[in-house]
Amino acid sequence: MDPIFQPFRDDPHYPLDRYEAAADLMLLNMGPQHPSTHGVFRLKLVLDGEIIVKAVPYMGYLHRGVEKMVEGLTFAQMTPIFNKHDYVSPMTNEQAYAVAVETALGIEVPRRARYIRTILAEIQRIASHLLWLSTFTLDMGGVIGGGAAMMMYNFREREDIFDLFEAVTGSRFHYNTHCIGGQRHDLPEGWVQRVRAFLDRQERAFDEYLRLIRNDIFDLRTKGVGVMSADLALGLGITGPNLRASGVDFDMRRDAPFHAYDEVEVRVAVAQGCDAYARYEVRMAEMRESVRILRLLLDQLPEGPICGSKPVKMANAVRVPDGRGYTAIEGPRGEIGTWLIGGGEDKGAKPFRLKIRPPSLHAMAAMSYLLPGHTVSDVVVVLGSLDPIMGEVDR
Amino acid sequence: MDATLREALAARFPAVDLDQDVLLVPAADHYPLAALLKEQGYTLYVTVAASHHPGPEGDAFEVATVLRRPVRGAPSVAWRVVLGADPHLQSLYPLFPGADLQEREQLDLVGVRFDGHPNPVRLMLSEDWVGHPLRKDYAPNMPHAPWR
Amino acid sequence: MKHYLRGLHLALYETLRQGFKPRITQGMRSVEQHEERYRASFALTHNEHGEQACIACMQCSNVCPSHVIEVTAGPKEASPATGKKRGWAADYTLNLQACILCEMCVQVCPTDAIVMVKVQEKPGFSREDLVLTMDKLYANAKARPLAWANGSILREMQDPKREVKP
Ligand code: SF4
Ligand code: SF4
Repeated sequence: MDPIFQPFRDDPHYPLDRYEAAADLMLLNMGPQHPSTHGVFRLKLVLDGEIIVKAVPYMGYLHRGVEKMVEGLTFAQMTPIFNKHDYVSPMTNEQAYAVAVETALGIEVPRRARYIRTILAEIQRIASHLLWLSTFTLDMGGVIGGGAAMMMYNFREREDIFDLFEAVTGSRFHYNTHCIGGQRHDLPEGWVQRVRAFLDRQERAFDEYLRLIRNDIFDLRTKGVGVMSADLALGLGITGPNLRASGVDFDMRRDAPFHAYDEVEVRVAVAQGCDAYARYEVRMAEMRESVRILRLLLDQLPEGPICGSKPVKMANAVRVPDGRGYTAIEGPRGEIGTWLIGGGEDKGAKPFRLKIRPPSLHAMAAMSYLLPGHTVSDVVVVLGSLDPIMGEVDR
Repeated sequence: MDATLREALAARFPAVDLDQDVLLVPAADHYPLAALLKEQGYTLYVTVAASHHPGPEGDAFEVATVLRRPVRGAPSVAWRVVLGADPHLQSLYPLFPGADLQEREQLDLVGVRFDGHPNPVRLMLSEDWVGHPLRKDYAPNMPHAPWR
Repeated sequence: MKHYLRGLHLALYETLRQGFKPRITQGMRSVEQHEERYRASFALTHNEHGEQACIACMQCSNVCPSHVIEVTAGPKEASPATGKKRGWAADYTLNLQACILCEMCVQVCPTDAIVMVKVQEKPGFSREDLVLTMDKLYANAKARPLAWANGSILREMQDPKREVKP
């Protein structure tokens, strides 16, 4: 890459007039409604010919004011709201919220409920990464056999996952299956066998995916594109697969176990490439790892109650006293955190302030560092490899 | 909090009570604390959250910051700064580039200004929006200018 | 170039192989094909004496996150079947436009009055078509298969002291 772009890669606020352009600079607005932005997101690109000099992200098109809205809702009402930020992994978002309130109140979650949560989270991780794979290859378009075909293959398995979730919760997407202290729905009979059958199918499907996308064009388009050093990733607050693709061996599932992750061995996938290809590698390895963890969890699944506190009978049954704390769990895109200040309206039945830490917003911040020096066609590759979900970025 | 970090913090910030879960830090120590933590290996920028606390003596604001060390055990340090009616605080952008968008979001929604921020404009709402929605006196149900 | 051709062959092989596999496309599911717990729309039930089960306790309208349930309580009168004094709902509307199908209203109902059904409402031509009035809700309970959950089932499932099946 040409060193004249280096100042823009180091500091996105580097003044543009110090750049000596070879041709006239052009301003290109990508979005807000560009099919490859995974939602509504606008990227202002300053172009020198076809090379990006500066990229400025604009967000907020999907801002729904969730943090203001939850200040008027009781804790029992908030779970169904929380699965709508990140509309690709609703299950882990609900869990992040439930864990936050349980930590604040010191509620013990029964062992079976923790296992069910872990199982649902891992299945959700597969579903989320499958959607990432399909949109990533779809964005890159011309990869042989990839493109739209890949999406059909991924959605075949994703549909199976939704069937499994529907069998537990009664809903295909917005589950509302967690409550403070445990689960609202127990697993139905025969569900464990269905998951096992699904895992066998999924394992065979991985080989099909590889046959479709393992070719030179895929490598050429992803290798060396969007290189993010480990220091930059940590400073930006990037977590999850994107961080592990930059060579940082850190996964909350292993390093700060929540749910039942302390009872299974999690082998963390790390790649040293730092580029889009490394992020692809990490996510593919993570899906296979999820299959392995799921088999272990299903073997060990204990019997017992599924909720540690009394079932919700009234809207304001849960009250969080004044106090503050940060809790986080590892979702498919990284650390989903909650900064919770208790003691809000109605004697603490509503939160005083609840800030959601969205992993995607941190990933979005990387765009302006990664893009300078790349061509326009690499924008979709970099954006796709970071796997942001706009509903979560804007909340 | 491990022993070496505790020692370093106690030596540098004697006024801070280190036994709390969330440290209460004076505004002047906000940036030096972050710099010290970064030196000690707390390099993962986790989050910043501002909140508005209206009281009988007028408005107060709180800005909480969380940093994490990406190692086994995932130790994290959270601290908060209490600010008065005209809230402004040193920006952490020179230490953590991730503070750029995060602090802009808090500026937008809560109205805490961050000194030294390279681009202090609204992030989520449009630039001509009036008011800061996450303040407690901003009623959610009434139309606010600009109404769109 | 060699790798390119190899990739092309692998991808084509995979694509052609799919032709010899059983079809996996499926159309819109019928009610029987949905999972047992599937939930789609609402109904109000009668209790075992044939009276309206709702006692107008307002729990459902309090817990609803989108505030779409409106219950108007009638005067408290003795029940003709048991002779005990109880509340009666004079009117009950559920506005399906903003409902997020979260099942919280079903969970809190102490008399299992509000439950869900397995058949979705038909899309309407006006906003009023999606407002479920009391009559529509009672008609739903007769005409459509009820979903698996009701308040007692859900609460019993979550009870921390639940008897565990051997
Ligand atoms: S299912 Fe619909 S009506 Fe019932 S509580 Fe949820 S949003 Fe309200
Ligand atoms: S439907 Fe149930 S919860 Fe709602 S008012 Fe009637 S009895 Fe109470």
